[in-house]
Amino acid sequence: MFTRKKVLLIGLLLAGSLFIIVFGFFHFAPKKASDVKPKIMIVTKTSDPNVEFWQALAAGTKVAAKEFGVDIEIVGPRTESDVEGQINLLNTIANYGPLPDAIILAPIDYEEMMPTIEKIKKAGIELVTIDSSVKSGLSSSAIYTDNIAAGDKAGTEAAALLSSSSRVAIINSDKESLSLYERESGVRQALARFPGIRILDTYFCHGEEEKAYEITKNLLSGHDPVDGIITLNETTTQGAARAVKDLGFQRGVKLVGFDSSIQGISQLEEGELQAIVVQKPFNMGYLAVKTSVKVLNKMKVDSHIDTGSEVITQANMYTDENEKLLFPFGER
Amino acid sequence: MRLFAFKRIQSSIAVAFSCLILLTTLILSFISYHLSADAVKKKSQDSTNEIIDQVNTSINSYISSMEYISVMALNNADIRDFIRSSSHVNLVSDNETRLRIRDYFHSVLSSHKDITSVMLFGANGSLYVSDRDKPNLKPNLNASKQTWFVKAKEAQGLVVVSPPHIQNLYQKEYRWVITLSREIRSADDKQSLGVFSIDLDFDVINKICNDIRIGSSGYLFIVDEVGKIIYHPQQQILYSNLKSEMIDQVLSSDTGSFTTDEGNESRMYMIKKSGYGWNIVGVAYLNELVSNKQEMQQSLFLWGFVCLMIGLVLAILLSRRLSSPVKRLEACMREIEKGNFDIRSDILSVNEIGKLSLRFNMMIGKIRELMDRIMVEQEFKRKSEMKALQAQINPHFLYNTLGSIVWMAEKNKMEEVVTMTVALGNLFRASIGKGSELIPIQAEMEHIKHYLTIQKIRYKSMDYQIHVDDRILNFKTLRLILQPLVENCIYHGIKYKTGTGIIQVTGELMEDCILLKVIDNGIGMQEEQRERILLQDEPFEDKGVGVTNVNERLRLAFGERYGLSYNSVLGKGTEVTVCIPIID
Repeated sequence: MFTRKKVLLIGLLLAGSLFIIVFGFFHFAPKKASDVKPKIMIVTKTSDPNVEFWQALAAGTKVAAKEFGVDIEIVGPRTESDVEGQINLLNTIANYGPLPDAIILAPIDYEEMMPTIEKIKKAGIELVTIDSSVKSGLSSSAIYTDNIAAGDKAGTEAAALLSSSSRVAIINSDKESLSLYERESGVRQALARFPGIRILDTYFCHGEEEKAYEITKNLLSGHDPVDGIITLNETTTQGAARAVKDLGFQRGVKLVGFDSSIQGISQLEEGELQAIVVQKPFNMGYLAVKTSVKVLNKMKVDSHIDTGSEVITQANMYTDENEKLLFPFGER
Repeated sequence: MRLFAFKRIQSSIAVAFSCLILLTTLILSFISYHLSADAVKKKSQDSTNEIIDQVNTSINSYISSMEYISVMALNNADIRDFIRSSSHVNLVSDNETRLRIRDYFHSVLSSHKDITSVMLFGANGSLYVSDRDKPNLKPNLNASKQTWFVKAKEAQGLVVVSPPHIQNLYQKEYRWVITLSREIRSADDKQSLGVFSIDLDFDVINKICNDIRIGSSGYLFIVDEVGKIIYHPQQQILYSNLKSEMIDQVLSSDTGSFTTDEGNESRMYMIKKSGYGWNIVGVAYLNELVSNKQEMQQSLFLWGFVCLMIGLVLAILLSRRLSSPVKRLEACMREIEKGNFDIRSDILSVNEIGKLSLRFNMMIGKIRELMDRIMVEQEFKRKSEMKALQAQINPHFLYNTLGSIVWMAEKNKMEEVVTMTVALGNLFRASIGKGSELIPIQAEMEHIKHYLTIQKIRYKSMDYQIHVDDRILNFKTLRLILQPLVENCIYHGIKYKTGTGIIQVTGELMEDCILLKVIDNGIGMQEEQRERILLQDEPFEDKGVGVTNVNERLRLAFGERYGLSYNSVLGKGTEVTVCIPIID
């Protein structure tokens, strides 16, 4: 009945139509996948609404979530030093769900939470770390501010403000913090390029603004006051700036700080502070979500992404770019 | 079209139809897909435009209310007095008016929640009146460096709307605002008297724009006439050069709409020029604009496939219907090939195939007629030949026999004359017969006996014997087959033999045939002579038409396998065997 040729041609026709169908469905169908939005959980260092860094970061993640069509949930412990609280948060997610597709984590203490992170990875959740240069093979990418570079900027700015034979003190907060340590080495690396500038000891205030205030006061009121002070985080900057103001701008000491705050901005305007180095939390949040989406889509991502930092002075604080950086919408 | 060269028309038609249907379905699907995709695109374009219009309207309503306030303020008697006086006298002295103005500003502020501050500046940028109390203001406040102040002076009395900026005139208060400012000029000499400013909380516009969704990831942004971004959801990202926006294209676009070519990420920009030099731009992702594009594609594919399948089935049915009469006609022809001329094609449709069938039937009728005619003619021919043959036998024999009778009569051999005459008479009676070709073997034997009797009288040196199986006597044979054979024996076998020639006629019944034999002991034949004796077209000497004629008649009557066979030994004699079927 059926000649071989006929069978062949009918087969070809069927195969052709089948091909078109399959092609049609497979070529166009994957785009529909956006119907089911991937869920990304962002675990910050604190859920405190007064800490602007995390608020700006959250704003960045929200913008990215809208752009890339993902659902995000932002959680965090009460304070930035609550290691236990953060670990508990992660454990709750890992143990009771609902499991997100990816977690963006700002680890307070990476070493401490290693077992929890391993548990999360075992549950098949992708991990991206932010605000920490520590990166193990468990996280697909680390998105953070290059603190050495930021410290270098602060050091360079301070050197530019000071005369060639000046004495500079560094006020740090915590000995344990890796990012602060990196900032300090960045500062030292920059100041080393100016042989005339002498660096005094690094002072630690252990997270207390009052201590920073005292240290600054001592540094300025002795027989041999310093010419410049570099403070490495918001707390130390606040304390130092307050001391400078209270001492009435003694001998025109130059103060270079880190991280913006309302006080910092007004101190900058009033000349108590000469410069602050700010991070870009909005970009960090945006890039974290963008990178997570790439990881979820099995695309290649950079293992380290530096979101950069900016030096803000009285002169440039109201440029378009820096206004946005210093004054996120709806925050003040 | 070798592709369609099938063994069956049905296949060719089916395949051709299928291809046609496939092609048509594809083209139709393609066209309808594009048409509806365009329609969907147009629709979402319209809705995007609507969104932009709404945003434009609400932004404009805020700005025009600011403008309205500014007009009201400038027409306020206190303010006019204050400004007029401030150009001449020391303004600090006029504290009472200043307080009244401040109260007025306060009332404006409390009735407009979106407005964060109302201020009046001197021409040099120093603050005249603000809605705030002094401690909230920065000391030594001077607005002369502020962009909105400069712009207002440049605009010479026209309303200027600033891009959003941080209002940094207050102590520890940094708000994003849009400042509407206008210069106050003296009516007579067009001298600058001061600048009036109103700040609108930018959050208002931010909220309007932030809530806008164009598709699921489309967005809206506002850019002013010099390309400065007023609002963009990803402004920081743009400033960090992590992304870029098509601001140049937006500013240079004349049509109010353009589309980028970024493959899957292609965007459509729709621009609306608002007042105050702002461009409100709606951006939609093309693949989202037609978000139901995929659904459309899928349903089109599905329906295309269903149509294709229906088409294929129809094509097969149709082709079968078309080709079945042809097949039936072919079956008829095959019957005819087998020799069945009685068959008639039963296709009665009026189309080409029906006509073909009709012609076919007519042709078969004609062929049958011709064949019948040929058969009749053959029959006729055979009969006439037979008659000729019979006629051929008689004269020779009659002449000779009559000669013998005359000779015997002269010798007074009366007894023999009687015998011979009786035999001759019987012989004739038998040979005239009754028209029937087939006679019982017995009759044929009688006939040959008469013949031999005559011949024996004529040739003294000859004798004969007849041995026939009794069982065959009633079976039928052709008449006058033995006589020519015997005649041949006598004239060619025995005539030249010295001594007595004996002719034996035998008849025996075999399993499937009857064998009649004529055996003589004459001179016999040479091998080649024997071989040629039955060949019709080679009459040799006097052997006579008799033998070949007998053979022909036998074969015509009974078929190829029947007839004569010769067996001869030179000097010893010849044996002729007649093979005929057993016929009752």
